[in-house]
Amino acid sequence: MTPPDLSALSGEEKARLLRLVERWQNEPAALLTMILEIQEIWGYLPERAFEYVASALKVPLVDLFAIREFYDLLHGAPVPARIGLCTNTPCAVRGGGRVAKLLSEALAKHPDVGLHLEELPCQGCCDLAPVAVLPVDRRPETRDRSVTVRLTTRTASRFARAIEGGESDLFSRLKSPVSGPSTGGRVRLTPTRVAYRNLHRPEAHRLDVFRAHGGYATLERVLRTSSPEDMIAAITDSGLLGAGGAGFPTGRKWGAVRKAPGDQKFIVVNADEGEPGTFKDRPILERDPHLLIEGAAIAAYAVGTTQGFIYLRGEYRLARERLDCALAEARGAGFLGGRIAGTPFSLELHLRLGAGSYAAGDETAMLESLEGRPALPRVKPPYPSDHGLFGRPTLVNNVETLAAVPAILERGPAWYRGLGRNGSAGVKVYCLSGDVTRPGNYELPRGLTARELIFTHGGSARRKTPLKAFLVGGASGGFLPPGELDIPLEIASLRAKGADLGSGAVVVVGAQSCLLYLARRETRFFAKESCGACDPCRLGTPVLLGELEGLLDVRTRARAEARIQELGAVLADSSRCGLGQVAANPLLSVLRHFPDEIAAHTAGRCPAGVCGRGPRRA
Amino acid sequence: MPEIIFSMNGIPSTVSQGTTLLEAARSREIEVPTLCYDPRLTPSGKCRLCVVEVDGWGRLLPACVTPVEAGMHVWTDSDRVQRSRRVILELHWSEYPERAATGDILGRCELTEHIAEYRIEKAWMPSGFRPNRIDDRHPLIGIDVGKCIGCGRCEQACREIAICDVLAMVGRGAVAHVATAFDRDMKQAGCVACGACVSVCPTGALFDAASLRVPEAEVKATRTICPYCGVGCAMNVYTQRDRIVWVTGSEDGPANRGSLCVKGRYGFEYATHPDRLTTPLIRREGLLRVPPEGVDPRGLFREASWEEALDLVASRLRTLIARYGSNALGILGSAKCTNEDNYVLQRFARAALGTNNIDHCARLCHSSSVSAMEMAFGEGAMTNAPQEIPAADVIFVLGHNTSENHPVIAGAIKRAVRAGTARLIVMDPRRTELSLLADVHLRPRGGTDVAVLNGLAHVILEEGLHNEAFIVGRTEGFEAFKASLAAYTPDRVEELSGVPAADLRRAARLYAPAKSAMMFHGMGMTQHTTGTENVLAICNLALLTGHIGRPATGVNPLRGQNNVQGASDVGVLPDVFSGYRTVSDDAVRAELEQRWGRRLPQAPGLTVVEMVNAASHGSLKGMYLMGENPMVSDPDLNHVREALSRLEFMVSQEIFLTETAAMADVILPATSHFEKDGTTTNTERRVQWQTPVLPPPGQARRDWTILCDLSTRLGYPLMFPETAPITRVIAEETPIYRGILPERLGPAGIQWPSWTPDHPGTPLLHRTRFTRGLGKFHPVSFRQAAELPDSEYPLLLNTGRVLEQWHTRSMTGRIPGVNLLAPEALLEIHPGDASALGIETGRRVAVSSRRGTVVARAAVTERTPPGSVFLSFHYAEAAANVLTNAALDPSSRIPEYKVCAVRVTPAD
Repeated sequence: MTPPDLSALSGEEKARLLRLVERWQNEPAALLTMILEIQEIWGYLPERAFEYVASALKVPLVDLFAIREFYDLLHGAPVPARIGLCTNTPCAVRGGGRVAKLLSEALAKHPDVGLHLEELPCQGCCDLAPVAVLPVDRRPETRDRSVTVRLTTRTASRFARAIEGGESDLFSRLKSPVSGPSTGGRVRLTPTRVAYRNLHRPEAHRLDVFRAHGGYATLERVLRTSSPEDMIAAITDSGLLGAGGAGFPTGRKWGAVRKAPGDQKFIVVNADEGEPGTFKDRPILERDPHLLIEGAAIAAYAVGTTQGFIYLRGEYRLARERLDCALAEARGAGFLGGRIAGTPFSLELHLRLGAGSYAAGDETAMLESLEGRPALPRVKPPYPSDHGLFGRPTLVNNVETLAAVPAILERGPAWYRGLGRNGSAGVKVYCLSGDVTRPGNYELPRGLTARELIFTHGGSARRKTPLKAFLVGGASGGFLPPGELDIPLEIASLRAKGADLGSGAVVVVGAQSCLLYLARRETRFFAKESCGACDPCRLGTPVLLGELEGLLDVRTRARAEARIQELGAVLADSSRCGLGQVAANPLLSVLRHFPDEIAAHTAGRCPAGVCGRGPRRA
Repeated sequence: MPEIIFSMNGIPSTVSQGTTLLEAARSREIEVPTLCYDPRLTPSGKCRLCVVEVDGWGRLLPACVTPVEAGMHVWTDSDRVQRSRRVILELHWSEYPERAATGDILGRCELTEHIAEYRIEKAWMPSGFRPNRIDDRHPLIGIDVGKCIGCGRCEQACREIAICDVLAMVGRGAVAHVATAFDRDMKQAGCVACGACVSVCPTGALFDAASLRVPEAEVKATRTICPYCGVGCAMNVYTQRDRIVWVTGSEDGPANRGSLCVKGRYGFEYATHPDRLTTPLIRREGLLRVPPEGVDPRGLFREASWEEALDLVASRLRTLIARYGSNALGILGSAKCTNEDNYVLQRFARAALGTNNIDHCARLCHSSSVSAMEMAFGEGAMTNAPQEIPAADVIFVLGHNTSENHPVIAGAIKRAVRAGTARLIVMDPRRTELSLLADVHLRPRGGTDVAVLNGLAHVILEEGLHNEAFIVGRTEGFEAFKASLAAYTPDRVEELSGVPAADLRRAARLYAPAKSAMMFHGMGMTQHTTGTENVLAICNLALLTGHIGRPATGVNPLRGQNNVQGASDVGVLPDVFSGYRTVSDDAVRAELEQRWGRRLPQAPGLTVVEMVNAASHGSLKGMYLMGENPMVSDPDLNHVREALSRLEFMVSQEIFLTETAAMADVILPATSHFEKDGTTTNTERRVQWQTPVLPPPGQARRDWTILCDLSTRLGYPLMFPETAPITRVIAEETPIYRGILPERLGPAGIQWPSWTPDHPGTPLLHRTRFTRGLGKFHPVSFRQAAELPDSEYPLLLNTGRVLEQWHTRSMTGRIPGVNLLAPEALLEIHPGDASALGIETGRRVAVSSRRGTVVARAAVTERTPPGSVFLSFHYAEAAANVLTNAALDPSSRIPEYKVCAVRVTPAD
C-alpha cells in the first residue's frame, strides 16, 4: 500500500521510468505500450518498476505480473544473448529445422560462446525463410537489439564454424549485412492496385509523396459529399470481405457498429499480423501508412466514431516508426484531429503495441490486450460491434481491409466487385512462401486457383522438387494435396475441403519436406500459443502432440487416429475462439489427405528423410 | 421481464428474458455439469463442461454464459454434447496428479465427483506441462497447484467478493495456474486471509492450511453466528466429535452472504484450547492480588467445586453489601455474551445485589455515539443497514478503518466503489485501505474532527447545498446551529486541522448533493473527550442534507463486539433497563419492581472508568466481571491495576485466565460462544439466534446458569429451564424487542424495533419522524484534546486494532496461524519522524507517556501522518493502554483512547 522504494534505481533509470509513467498514465488503452517502453530501460521488467507502475496507475500488482507472464515480448529477467529461429511451416519447409540442428549442436559443444537458441513465432517475413533474429547489442547505429535476417543452411554452417572458433558476434559473419530494421514482406507487383496501390512507388510513406498521388483526396471528398450511410452501402455493394482471417463482409460490420446504440464508439485497426505464413500487412504499415490512416478515417466516419487505435504487432519496429511519423504528419496536415478537412468530423487515432501473443489475433482478445490485460478472447456474443473496447460498440478491421477502402470508393463498388474470379468479388493479398522460386505478397483476384498462384506467379516448384502439398490460411488451415490445386482460393470452396482462406497465406511444401514433421511443429505452435481461457484448448492442444507420436507406431496408430479425430471434433465444437477450434486442423488434414505419408512413417520410413529417429518397433 | 418461448430436450417451455441456458436447465432439474461456474461469481465460460447443442448453431454453446433466445431448441444431452463433456473431463483427469485427487479438507472435489458420475478414465497421455507444487508459506491458506484445474474461481472471488486482487491465473495456456504477484507469499502479496478463494475452490487447490483433513461423513455442520465483531456474520461450523474442524460462511446470512474475514473463518481454535478454564478456581490464601512479574497465574489458584466457589462468592458479596451497602459493588457485563446472559446479569445486579453499578465495554467504544444520537434523533443505534451500501451514491467513512475492523462491510464498500455505483469519502488521520480508494481523503490532525465536520457544514450552507425542505419539515434548532458555523471557514479549518480547504470543499460537494449518502463512523470519532460532540457534528451533517430516514443514508456507528448492541439493549448500562428505559423513571421502575418482585435502585450507577476510579478511592469494594478484561482494554492500565488491587473481593466469570482474571479471588469457568444458544444483536440492530456447536469443556457452565445459581444463593431465586424462556422474558419487558421471539428468528433474524409479537422489524429508522419527534441540531464548537504533544512528549499517539487480532487477544492470541500473521505489536511511525529519531523498521522502541512506558517494534510507514504514531492495543506485552489517557468525554464518559502525547526512543 505504501509507494514502492525507488531508491535502488539509478538516477537516470528512475527519471526515465517516471517520465514514461507520466507520459502514458492518462492515455487511453496504453498500459501494454507503456510497459513495453519501460522494458526498454532495463531490457526486462524489474519488480520495483512494476511496483511503481501499480501504485501510480492504481492497477493491482498481480495484474501486471500476469501480463508479464503472458506475453512473449515481456521479460522478468535480463535476457541472455540469443539467436531466434522461426520454426513455423514456411521456414521449416526451407530448411529451418536443419539450421536449428546445426546451431544447437555447435552451441551445445561451446556453451562458453554465451548464446542461446530460441524458437520464435512467425516473424512476418516468410519470403526470407528460413528466418533468424540475431543479437546486435554492440551496434550503436541500430536502435534495435536484434536484426532479422535470412539464415540458410549454408550460412548456418558458417555460423557453426564460427561458434566452434569461440565467436559470438555472428552478425558480422553475414555475407551481406542487412542495414536498417526493414526486412521481408516483399511485394510482387501485379496489375491489381487496391490495398497495394502505392507500393510500387518509392517513398510512398511520406505525406508529400502520398498526397501527390491522390492520397487523402477520397477522404476529403467523402467527408464533404457523402453520408455515412452512403459509405456503408458502397462498401457493402463492393463485396469487400475482412482480410484478417474470418472473411466477414465489411459493409455488414460497419452497418452493425453504426446501428449499435451508444454515444462513444471506437475503431480498432488490427495490425497484429501473426498468423504463420502471413506478411501482407507489413508492407502497407511500413511503406504506405497514410493509406491505412485514410481508410481508417473513412471507416470511422462511416460508423460514427471519433476515437481509434491501431494495435500493432510489437515486433514490427519499422512499422512503428513509420506509423508514429505518419500519424503526426496526418495530424499536422489536418487529416486527423479536430474538424478534418474543414468538416465537423474529427478523429483521434492512437498507436498501441502488442507484446507477443498469437491469441491476440482474435479480435476480442486483442481488445482485452488493448485494455491492458492478457489477450484472452471474450465470450461471444456479445460481439465487438455491440460490446467492444471498454464495453463500447467497436469496429475492428484488418489493415489490408481498410487499405482497400480508398480505392473502392474512388473507383466504385462495381469496379472492385468485378476484380474477382469464379464467382468471388474483389481481390486479396496472398502471401506465398515455401518451396517456390518467387515468394512474396501478390494482390490478386479472389477465387483465383491455387495452381495459378503457385505455378503462374510463384514459379514453383523450387529446385524442381515436385509439389507434395500446399497449405492455405496459415497454421490454422490444412495441408491440401496436389490434386486440389485447381481449387479456387475462396472461402466456401476451401472450407468444404476442411481448409480455410484465412489471412491469405499459401505455403508450398515440396517433396523434401515431411508432413508429419510440419504438422507436429504447427500443433506445437498452437499448444504454445493457447491462451488458457477455455479448457478444451488449454488441455487439448498439448495432448494432440502426444497422440501424434502414437501415429508412428503400428500398434497404436488406429487408436491415435481415432482420438485425434475425436479431440479435433471437440476442439472445434467447444473451444472459445478460432485458435482452439482449428488447432487440430494440421493433423486432421494430414490424416485426411495424406494417409500414405502416415503409413510410410508407421512402417519406419520418412519419405522425405527428415525425421531423425526411426519409427518405434516392437 | 418478458417471457420467451424455447424448448429444452424437446420439451417446450418459457423463461424470462436474460435467463441463461444453465439457469434454465437447472431450474428444470436437468443435469448440466460445470467446473468453473459458481452462482456467487460472474460466469466465465471457461471450463466448457456445460456446453449444450442448439439447433441451427454450428458450435456447441456454453450454457453458463449464453442467454436463452426465443425459439431455441436446446439439447443438453446429445451425442455431441456428451462427447465434449467426456473428452474435457478425460483431459482434466489424465493430467490430474494421483496424489492430488483428495479434495478439500472434507475430501470433497467437484472434479472427482464428475469423474465418478461420468465414469471417466485417464484416457490421454499427460502433456507434462502442468505445474505440480504446494505453496505452504502462508499459515492459513495454502495453494496446492497440483490440484488446480484452472477454473479461475479463486481469482474471481479475490476480485469480485474480497476486492483484494491478490490472486490471478498466471502463465499462458497449459501452464496457467493460480499465483500471486511475483509468486510472493500470500501475506506479502496483500492477502487478508478472508478465505473467499478457499470457499469457492472446487478441488481443494486453495486450502485451509491450518485445518485437519476429516472425512465428510464424520463431521456435523451447524449454522451459528460469528463470535467476533458486530457485523454478525452467519457461519457454518463443522465439528468432528468435540472439536471444530472447519468454518465456512453461510450464504443465507443476511449480513455476510457467505463472506467471512480471517478471524471468523480461522479464529475458532480458542474454544477448544487447553488453556480453557474447566473448574472453578479460588485464590490461595494470603496471596497478593497483583502477582509479581513472571509468575504463572495458575499457581495462584486452587481448584474448587462449584458448590464451594458459589457459596464463597455469595457469602463474600453478602458481607460486602452488609458492611458497605449495595453501591460498593460494581458489575461488568460482556458484549461477547448473549442477550440472555446479559439480561440475567443486569437483573442479578439490580434485583439481587441492589445496585445500578453495571456497565460494559460499550462505554469504551460507542457510548458517545449513543448519547449524541439520542440527543439528535432519539435513538442511539445505526439508522440504516450495511445491506443498503449497493444503493448508495456516496459513502462517507469517518474515523473508521473498516478493512481491519469490519472486513465484511469493507468488502461491500469496496465492491460498490469498484462497480462505480458509489463515490467514497474517507476522514481519517491514517492512510487506510479505503482511503486509497477514496475520491477524497480528509486527514485531520488527531482530535480536530469537530472543526472539520463544522467546516463541511459551513461549506454546504455557504454553497447552498443544504436540504431546505428537510430542515424546515423535520428538524429543529437550525438557526442556532447555522449561527454557530460562521467561524468555521475552510481556511480556518485548514489551520485548525491541517485539512486543505480545497479537500474540504470537494468532500462537501460530493456528500451534500448526492441522491443518497451513507455515513459510517467508528472509534476514530467516538473515543475522544469530544466524542459526543464529534458524533453530534456528524448528526448535524445528516440533518442539514436530509441524508437520513431514507434507504442508503443515515448515521451509522459500526459497533465493535458481536453483541455490544444487544448487551446495551438488554440494560447492561448504569442508567437504563432493557430497551433504554431509564432507571430514574418511576413508572418503569414500578412496572419492573412488580415483575421482578424487588425494590430497585433509583439513582444511575457508575460507568466503567468511574468504577475503576471508585475502587482506587476506596468507595468500591467488590467487583463481579463477566468476560471483561479491563487489565488490557481500559485506558491508563497502571491506574487500573492499582485500583483493582484495592478491591476487597473480585470475581471473574471467564473462559480463560486473563490478565484481569489473574487478579480475582474466585474464577468461575464459563462457556464460550460456540457452546451457547441464545440471541445476539449485530451492529444493524439485527437479532439473530445462535446454536451451540460444542459441549462446554470440563465443568464450565453457561453464563446465565451461573448467575441464576448465585442469585438464588443470595436470596433472589432466578430459575429458567433453558435459554428460550429468557428470550421471551426480554421480549415481554422490552418494547423494542416485543416481537423478538425465539420461534420467529429464522436465518434472517429480526431488526429492532419490533413493537408487537408479529411486527416484522425495522431495517430503517426515522423514516417519517425521528424517534424524538424532530431531528435536533446541536451547535458544537471545537475544543482541543485533553493532552497534546509538547516538547517533552512530542508525538501524538493514536490507538486501534489490526485485522488479525481481536481486542485483548484472549481469543485470537490462542490461534497459532493468526498469530503468525500478526505476531507482535508494531509502532507505526512516519518516515520523517523515524529518521529524525534514528529509527528504522524492525527496531525495538520505547514508547512513553506521562502514565507509563511500553516497548514495541517500529514499522516505518506513511500510513501514519507526520507527528503521529499508531499502536494497536491488543498485546498485553506492549499494551497501548499503559500509555493512553483516561480523560473522559463529559456526557458519555468515554475515555480518550485516540489522542495522547508520547515520546519514542530506540530501546536497544
